[in-house]
Amino acid sequence: MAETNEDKPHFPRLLICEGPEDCFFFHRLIETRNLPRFHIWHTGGRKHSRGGNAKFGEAIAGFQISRPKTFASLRDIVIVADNDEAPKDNFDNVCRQIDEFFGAGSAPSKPLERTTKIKPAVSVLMIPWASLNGHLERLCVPSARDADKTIGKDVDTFMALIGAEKWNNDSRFGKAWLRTNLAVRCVVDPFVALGKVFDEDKHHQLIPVNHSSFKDIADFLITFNVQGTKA
Amino acid sequence: MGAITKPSARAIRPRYVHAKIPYRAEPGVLPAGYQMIHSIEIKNFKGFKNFKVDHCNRVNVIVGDNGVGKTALLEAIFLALSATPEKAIVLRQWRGLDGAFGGAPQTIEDALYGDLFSAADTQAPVEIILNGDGAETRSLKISKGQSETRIPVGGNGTREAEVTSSTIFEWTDFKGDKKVSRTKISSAGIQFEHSGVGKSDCYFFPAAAPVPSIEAAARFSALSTAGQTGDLIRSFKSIFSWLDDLSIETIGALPAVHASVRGFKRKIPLTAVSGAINRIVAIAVAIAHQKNGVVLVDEVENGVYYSRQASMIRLLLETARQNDCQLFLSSHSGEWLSSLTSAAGKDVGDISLWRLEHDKNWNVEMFQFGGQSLKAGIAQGVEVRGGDE
Repeated sequence: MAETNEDKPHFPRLLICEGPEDCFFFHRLIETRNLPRFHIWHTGGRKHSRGGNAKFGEAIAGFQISRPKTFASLRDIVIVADNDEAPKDNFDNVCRQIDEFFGAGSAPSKPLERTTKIKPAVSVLMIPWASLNGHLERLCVPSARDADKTIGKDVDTFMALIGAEKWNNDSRFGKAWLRTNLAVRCVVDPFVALGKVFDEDKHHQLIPVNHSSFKDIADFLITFNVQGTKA
Repeated sequence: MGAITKPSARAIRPRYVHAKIPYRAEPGVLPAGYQMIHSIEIKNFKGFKNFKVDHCNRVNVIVGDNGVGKTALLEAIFLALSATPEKAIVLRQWRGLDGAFGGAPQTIEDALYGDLFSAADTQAPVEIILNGDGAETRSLKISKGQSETRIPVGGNGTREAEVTSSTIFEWTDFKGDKKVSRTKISSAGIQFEHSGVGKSDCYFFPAAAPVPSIEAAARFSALSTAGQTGDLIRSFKSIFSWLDDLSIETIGALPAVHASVRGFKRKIPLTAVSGAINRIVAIAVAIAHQKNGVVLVDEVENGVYYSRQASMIRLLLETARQNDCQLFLSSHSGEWLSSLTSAAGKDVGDISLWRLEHDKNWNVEMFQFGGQSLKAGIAQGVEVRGGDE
């Protein structure tokens, strides 16, 4: 599953996220939980740059110009963006790009809403979830903690000792917690990239995607299973 | 309270034009008086059974695999904007086919016109329909009728047969007037009737054929006489620091564009300096000479050094914009397309990308993208010249 933007089959759904790590996560989540298949693309495109949350319009256009027939047959586009420390601003930022691409008034009014004003329908999934601060790393913390509860508690202690709660920044906390946890648990590569954790079989036990913390996202994605529309 | 201002034309242009999303009309986007071809319909011409482009732009870039029909599409526009069947021979020569013919009149006629028809099937007529703002609204129908043979009688005993070909070229101009042109073939030669249809001829720069120096000189001279070469020469001098001037001089009594090159006492024919520079100069001059017209360029990037591409493209775009000239260009070069979107800057919306592909039945299908989509695709690192599916 090394490919991110290279998938050739035709699915009626496209999922666009902010970077390659998110792509690997969603590939793994969908495969493990047998969820509806999506074309999974990220805003860094084929240049495999970091992407980010300012290029969703560009990414949609990039997919369309690369695969116009597939694009024409899409029923749904799901845009996955990070809340970071500003869920509303970041959601509005995504909506602005949707409106810019499809025309004013095209964007959904809230996360998880499937707007059918345009074809394909567009939904926005903010992670870790709706209005929670954070990103993929914070989403992964519960799964990583439960995968090795002893080390999980040790990392909690470590974070307390360094006064991480005073940061008052959920995103920074999530990144620091997960990076520390992975550095301790991944013996072969303490610097293991988050994308590799989901891409390579030997690392899958580090953050099991069948953990209950991913259920909400899985439940959201499975709603696209009924002939490509939300049930 | 501030004055209410009308939004600029630029502001109301959507950032993306979608192949499968209904096109939104954008009145006021183009400058007043700007005339252009808006749509093209081609039936039964070469590889095109039934082909239509609905939304032409100021700069239309055609990409696609070898043999998919990029050149043929330019040829279709060229023929429709022409006024005589003779242009079919010109097209043959540009394709490397000989312009000399032999054999029976029917054989010659087949050689002249047979390959204009899709799959050489002459049962259905060729139709090329251009819709635009002015004289470029016209159509060409090429069909087969009855040939006529005229055998002179009397005289000194020679009986020279003249065959009027069965291939009929019929142009309909923007007023709806129809002009028919046929070809007369005899052992003395081939005579093409000028249809008499009015404007507008256009300029076509084929991929392989060199630019005729006399034609380029004539256009340059006309511009020079009108005092309109100054900006062009300044632009070329800014691109090539070694270039001091361009002028018309004669070689063997024939005019040609010459370059004053730093360090050389004598002026040098531009073709001798660089074939690619000569071609770009000729294209720029044609654009400047063809106000409110159409210029067609096949494989526009040919021979241009990579680091000169952006400045050359900028020159062509600026010249086209200043002269309200519509461009139809083909290209194989991703590097060139990237330079094009950079050079266009805020005017990237003036560009359309037409990607031609064969479908499973070998029909030509087109995917059309706006300049913003092209720019986005390049930024995303995807292959914009061919589909990935």
